Amino acid sequence: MSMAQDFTLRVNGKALQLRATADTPLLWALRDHLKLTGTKFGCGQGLCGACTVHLDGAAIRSCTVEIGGLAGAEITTIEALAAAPDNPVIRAWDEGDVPQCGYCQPGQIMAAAAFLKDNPTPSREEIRGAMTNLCRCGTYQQIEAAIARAAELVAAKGRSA
Amino acid sequence: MMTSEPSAPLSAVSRRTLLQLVAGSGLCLAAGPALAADAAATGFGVYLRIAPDGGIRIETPNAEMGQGTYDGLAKIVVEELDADWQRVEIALSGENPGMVNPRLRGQTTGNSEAVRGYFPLLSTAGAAAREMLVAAAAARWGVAPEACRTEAGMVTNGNRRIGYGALAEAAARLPVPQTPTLKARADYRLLGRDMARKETAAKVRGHAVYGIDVERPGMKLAALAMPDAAYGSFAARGLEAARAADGVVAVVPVRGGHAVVADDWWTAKKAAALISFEAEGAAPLSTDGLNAALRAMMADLSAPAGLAFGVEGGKDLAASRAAVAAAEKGAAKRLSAEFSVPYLAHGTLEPMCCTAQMVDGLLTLWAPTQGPGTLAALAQKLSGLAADKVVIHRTFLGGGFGRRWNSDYGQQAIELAMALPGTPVKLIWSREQDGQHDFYRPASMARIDAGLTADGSIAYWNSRIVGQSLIQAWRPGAGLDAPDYSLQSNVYYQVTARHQESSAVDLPVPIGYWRSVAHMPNAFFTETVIDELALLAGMDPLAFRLQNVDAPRSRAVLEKLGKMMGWPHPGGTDVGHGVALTNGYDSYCAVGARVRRDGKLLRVEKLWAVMDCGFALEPENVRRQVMGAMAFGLGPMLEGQVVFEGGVANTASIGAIGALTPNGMPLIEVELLADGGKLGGAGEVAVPGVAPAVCNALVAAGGPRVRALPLTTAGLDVVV
Repeated sequence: MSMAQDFTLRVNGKALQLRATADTPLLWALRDHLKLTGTKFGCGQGLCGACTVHLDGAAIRSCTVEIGGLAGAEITTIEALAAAPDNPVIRAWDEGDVPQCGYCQPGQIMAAAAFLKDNPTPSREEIRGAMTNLCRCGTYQQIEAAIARAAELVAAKGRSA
Repeated sequence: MMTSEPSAPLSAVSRRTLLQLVAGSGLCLAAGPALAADAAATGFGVYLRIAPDGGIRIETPNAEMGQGTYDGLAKIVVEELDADWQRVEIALSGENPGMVNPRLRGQTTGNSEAVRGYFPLLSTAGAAAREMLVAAAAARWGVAPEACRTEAGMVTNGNRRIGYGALAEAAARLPVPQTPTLKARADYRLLGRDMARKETAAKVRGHAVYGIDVERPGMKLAALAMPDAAYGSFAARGLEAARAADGVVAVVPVRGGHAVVADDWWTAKKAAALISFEAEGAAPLSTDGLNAALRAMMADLSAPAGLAFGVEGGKDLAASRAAVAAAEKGAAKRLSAEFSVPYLAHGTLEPMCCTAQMVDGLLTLWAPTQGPGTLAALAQKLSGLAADKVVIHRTFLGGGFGRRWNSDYGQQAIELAMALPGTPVKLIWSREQDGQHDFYRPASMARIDAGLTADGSIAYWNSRIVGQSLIQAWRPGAGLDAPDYSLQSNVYYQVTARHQESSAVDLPVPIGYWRSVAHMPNAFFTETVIDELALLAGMDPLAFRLQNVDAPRSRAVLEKLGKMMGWPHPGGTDVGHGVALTNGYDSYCAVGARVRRDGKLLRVEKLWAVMDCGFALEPENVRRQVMGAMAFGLGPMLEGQVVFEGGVANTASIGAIGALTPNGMPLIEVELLADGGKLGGAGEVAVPGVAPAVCNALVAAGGPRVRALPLTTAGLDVVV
């Protein structure tokens, strides 16, 4: 079994220290070591998307990424989006009252935010094709509508800027 | 018809459990033990507090797992209180014997009973508090209470106004009115309207605390080692290796296996993987063996059987069988059909988890639970502690669906706390364990014989349903000849002669409540037969239902559904439409489906539902409950089935439980009808109709008649 060692992770713009084994999944480093519990554990199998965070801007499933390979990487979690003033994705989720149980929603939001960065003006079909995170409450229609709304907010911001 | 709800008799509620108007530090008091002790000491109740600044705090007694009762139940109090909704803060209560749901006789969340159960209590509490506040204001001004009005947290008299916060202390000293006047529905300001939900912001930002998010000072994390098999007898190997692994604090025997404790969950999980299990005794039954037992019971008419209420021959099994056999002889057309449905897993996205700590003879739990009352009783039994030495705080639930009605994971956390006094321990199951150690929706089989008169009415209905009984699972020894709701279908049609029997099969699979419980299999059986009867009669399936339903509200939801769907639809070879009716929980729900068939590939393109729950407290929330329920029912009917091999379930992966993905989500349209009557449940009733509606649509699309779920077992490819 590997021994615990010191790691520095760049999370939400800050360098954070933790002591763990190199095979620790990023998910558990965030949750247990750094106490960033907005990122959720759903399956540990890379399937459900509840643990979605951004790694250098791209959406990844943090349960399948070991911290040993993350030196120099920039990690962004739901806590950063939540702290940002008037984040369009967060706002769209608020306006649409999207959550039911809510457990998958931080991961859904992280997946949506990365998607919108790549495709700020998606069609409904493109949204449907891009989102793969599970929601056991079945809020998929509300999620799709919220992503479309977030795209509108981004576009409106672009016009006013 | 607009009515007001019946109020709860206050003598039955007791003053202590009714309301608490706390002056001074009202909003600062902690939940849990402090609340309970304070309630007892001051002789007031549990749901409502008003702070001097007019802030309102509602302690909500129910689990919040996506049904929206967090806001919904609070609104019931606030509606009658006439407080300002913007000034209301909601908190999840702890376990509290004063917060029993009268319909469930426990502080339990299930059977779509939250609103139905708590409405009389909460509305009465709000109305009583309002009358006390008015009385306090009236006394202060020297006017009659009848001369005062209330609005948005203020009592007014002419031009005079005073806020509830300034009145709370004086009001709390007044007698509690025994029969406060409740509003008529027509006068509601909050209920019946949609408003932004209070818990949304925290859930969206990752701040909402679920069971898995509990943090305590000095907390350790625990992972489990359990056998792969859901049932059977096993011996653990490798405990010493786990104890010796880096970072392991303790290995503790717990219900079903061993828990490994470390500073972080990943370390604990890796060490838990060093523990293995060896089968003892005979190999546990596989699905083939389970199905053989069900088939044998289906054929064994000498086995004890329970009868549904209201059948021919009363409770006399032989007389009832004879009466329906006689009716069968006189029928113009007959059919006989056999059905089966599989075991299903819940798959809450948050795996089972619970935190517990034992300090100086006080056991504290932080639990995402649907059954805090049950958990408290279990904690007392396991620890030997008195009721006041067990404290249960509740968190949000990352899905419940009936799974968190069980206390198995709570028991493990209690055992950990007892083994490690002083240390708070958070236990988290792996996904594999969650899928392999579920309390599964029981499999069942059915045979239904039914027939028609010459004019297309239903001459007889003879059903036999067999499976594991939930009643037997919870109350072993309950009479096998009693009506067993877990194995009985409701038939919402006029039937001339009816015989409905069920027999329980004793099998080792752990079973439990699963969103909509027996309604889902039984609606599949019943609404398939109704469709087959319509085709046998040469009638349109919707027209046949409208001709034969036994309640006006069933007719109304079906008629509305037909309008939404643009009924009638001619059958085709690729696209088909189907309908189903599934009432329950005092609600009425008609479901429609449109499917597209491309060779063996089936896609559910659209679902419709019309729901009448009497009165929707929060209409948009009800619509979303219906949508979510339909999505919850769709995935499993397409491809969900728990298969056991030597007792090991095939559901170790979240991808194997029939969870609907975004790609499989059809467009769903929901409309509500409000009959204005009794309140009905909203969270479950739309689950069951999906399977028969889709199967009926498949036939209309030229596909096969499917009588065994999931659809994949009929050789179809599906989009889930």
